[in-house]
Amino acid sequence: MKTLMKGNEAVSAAAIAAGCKAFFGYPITPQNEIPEYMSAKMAESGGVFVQAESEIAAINMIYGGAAAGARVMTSSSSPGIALKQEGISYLCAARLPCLIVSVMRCGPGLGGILPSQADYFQATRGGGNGDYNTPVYAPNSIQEATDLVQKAFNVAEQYRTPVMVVMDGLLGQMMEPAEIKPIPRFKNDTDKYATNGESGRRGRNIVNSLNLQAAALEQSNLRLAEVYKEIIKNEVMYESTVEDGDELVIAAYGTPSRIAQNAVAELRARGIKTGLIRPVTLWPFPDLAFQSLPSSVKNVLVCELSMGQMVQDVRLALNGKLPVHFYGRTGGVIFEPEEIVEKALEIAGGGQ
Amino acid sequence: MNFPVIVTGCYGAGKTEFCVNYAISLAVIFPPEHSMPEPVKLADMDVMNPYFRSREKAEFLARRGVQVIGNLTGNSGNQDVPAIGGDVLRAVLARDALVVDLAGSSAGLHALAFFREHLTGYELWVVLNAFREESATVDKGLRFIQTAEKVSGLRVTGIVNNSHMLRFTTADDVLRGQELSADVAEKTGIPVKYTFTHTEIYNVIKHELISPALTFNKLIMRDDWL
Repeated sequence: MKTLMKGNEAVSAAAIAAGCKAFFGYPITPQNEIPEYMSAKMAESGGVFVQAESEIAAINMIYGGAAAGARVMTSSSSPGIALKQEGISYLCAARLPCLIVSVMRCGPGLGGILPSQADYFQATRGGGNGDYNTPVYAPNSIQEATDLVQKAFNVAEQYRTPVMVVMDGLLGQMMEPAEIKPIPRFKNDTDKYATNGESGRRGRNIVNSLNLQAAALEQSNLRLAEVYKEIIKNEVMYESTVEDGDELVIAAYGTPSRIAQNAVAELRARGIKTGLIRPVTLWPFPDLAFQSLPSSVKNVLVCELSMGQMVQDVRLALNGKLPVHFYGRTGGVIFEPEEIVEKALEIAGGGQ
Repeated sequence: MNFPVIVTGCYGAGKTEFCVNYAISLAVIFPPEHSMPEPVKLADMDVMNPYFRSREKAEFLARRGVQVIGNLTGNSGNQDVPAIGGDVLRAVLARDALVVDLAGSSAGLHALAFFREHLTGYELWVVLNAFREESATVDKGLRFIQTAEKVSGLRVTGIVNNSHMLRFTTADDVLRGQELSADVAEKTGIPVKYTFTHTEIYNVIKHELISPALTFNKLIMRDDWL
């Protein structure tokens, strides 16, 4: 049955439903409801909740929990995710699965506590060292957040990688009717990697990210690259309403995609044929959604709550094929549908 | 009528949406130029969550005769500063027509320590939403009331049925919430003060309501595009 859920609560409830056995975190607005919920509910469900002494401690506890073969999760908001970057790089190198939820607030620095998408780069490029990627899911509704959290755990285990779920602060804070619909759990063979006691049934597993042999480290990087290639092949998710004949395509993810939906409806009512592409995975990025646009499309407008980050991936995907425009607000200011409409009209009028 | 009207409830029960609508309805009864020397005031005393705050609507409310108070740093932005302005105490002492919008959960009631000793009369209303996990059952409602009274040192004087699923709310949802509120009322002897719902739903179920209704045509705290 559906109940009225806040985004942060829904994410937490979905993680518990997915069998998350340990949560390590540290408070920061606007994700505080996640640790708060977990502090009450993890024990009830037979799991572990630890409020760590810092975000850095939390991500390293995640390393330990994942190395022991448990389904583990941490959450934070932008400056807190910044602190976790070293740990994420280590988790990638050590091939450990985990879920990292990022409820984005404004930056740079301590910035502000209001909604933002200025951590697209932080999630898709990462601030840790080395050649690594993490799958990044960006829901635009609370129902979708509950589905993607469960999926994220599966993907994390299937490819043995940290996976991120990113939400702008608004999605974490707002409420919607939603229900947790359990999805089948990936059968994770922890014996392949976890230090969970060999008991004579297999050789020792060693969890490590240090590799001082040049050739061996290169091999390990090549293996990682193969994993990423598989993820790119299998895990891209997006929604597109683009139809043959559309002249303008708006691209947006998360809450802004819902604002953009309203703008698209308004533009269509005004006779400007417009479609919407909503990336659900930010990495791997849905390049094909942009590369396969009908020839009628003349312009692409990317709308983000940032100074322009995903717009770079759209430009890379299109590789100069189409003009790519940008509209963004920051600091916690959220654009209204009318602002997007106005920008779109300006673009549509530009050729006349 | 007792003032202040203090509104509590679990997280996301819909306290703020109720408070802003209730304050506007008071401003209709007590327009500043008439019975009250001071405008109706709404104290934003949510010291926990900086999102979806009544202070965001300060200008909107001012145009409707409601003054938002309680914020030391002004109403311009959502700031993570859990500090309450002295204007709240002044309004309590003056027994102004004051609605107090607290933070969710019983923890939100701790902010009442700010003026509790100066209260001469008051209302303390608990908002219940049958579709929020923390107030979904009679037992949870009863437990919340118990805890609220323990934490605040005050008696709960009213229940507000705010059972809803945002724009997906049906008439049956509101009636289900009424049943929950009525059960809690019966077990505690605390009256149901209001059912808070959309005008369209009210028109369908008005003959089945056991309490007065406060109705709205459009949610104030939630943007249209959401």
